[in-house]
Amino acid sequence: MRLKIVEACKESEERVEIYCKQQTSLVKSIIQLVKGNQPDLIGTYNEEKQIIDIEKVYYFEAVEKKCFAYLEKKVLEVSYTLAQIEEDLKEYGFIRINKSSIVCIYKIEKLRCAVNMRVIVVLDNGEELVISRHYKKTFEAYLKSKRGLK
Amino acid sequence: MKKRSLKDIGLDICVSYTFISIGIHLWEMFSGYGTLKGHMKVFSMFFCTIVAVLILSLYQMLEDWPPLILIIFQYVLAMAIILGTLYLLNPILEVAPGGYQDMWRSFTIIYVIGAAVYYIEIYLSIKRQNKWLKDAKQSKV
Repeated sequence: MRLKIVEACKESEERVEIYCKQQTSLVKSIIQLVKGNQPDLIGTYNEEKQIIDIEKVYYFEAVEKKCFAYLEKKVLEVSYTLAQIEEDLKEYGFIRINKSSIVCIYKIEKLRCAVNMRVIVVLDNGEELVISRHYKKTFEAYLKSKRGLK
Repeated sequence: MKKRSLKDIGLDICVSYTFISIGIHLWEMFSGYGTLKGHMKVFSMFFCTIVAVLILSLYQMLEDWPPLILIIFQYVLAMAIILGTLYLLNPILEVAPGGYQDMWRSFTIIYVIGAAVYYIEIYLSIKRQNKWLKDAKQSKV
């Protein structure tokens, strides 16, 4: 795929034109990215509402009937349930790994096996989460489905 | 007619064999054929299998337990039930002096092999998933 970028100061707005023989999955992904179908999440931090860029979210966790979005160094409370997040963000790399956590696979550094045979997810920021046995198979199937998009 | 998988056919063979084998030994025992020792060996293996399968099925119920703790707990529970049953049946069966040790050894060896296979499977699964994770991150648009 050839890529041509033209920086033209005379243009009044940013625009993207795509020339393709047919709309492959890669082309569709580019279209989706440009269209901005990425869902917006609203979170609360220090009693202030903020828009959350889901690309910066490491994982979501439900604690005492509240749901939190964990970014690299910040935690925001969100007013969605884990079920809603699981449904809406599945195609963006988010998958449930236990009863109270949904993790972004693109923020995972590696998986490891603990001494007690639990499977541990190690995130890029060093945090660790546990994959429960109930979600092990779905997590593995999800990873398998995501690896093939080239 | 629905096509049957090899797995279903294999399962049918195992169940059928079990029923036939136990049935034949029961019939022979009551008809006076063979030795009591020989028959009891088959029945005791069948009993151990039932105990092992029932206890292993606790795996799905105790999801919050770490696998290693669960494996140890299941082993201790299974051994307690099997050796306890042997002890209770001692007046009828007259268990040989080394009988308990033999039973412990037979069960433990198979259980340890099973646990080792399970651990290796987890390790290989993690290795495979780490590779997929790397591929997924590289192919992310």
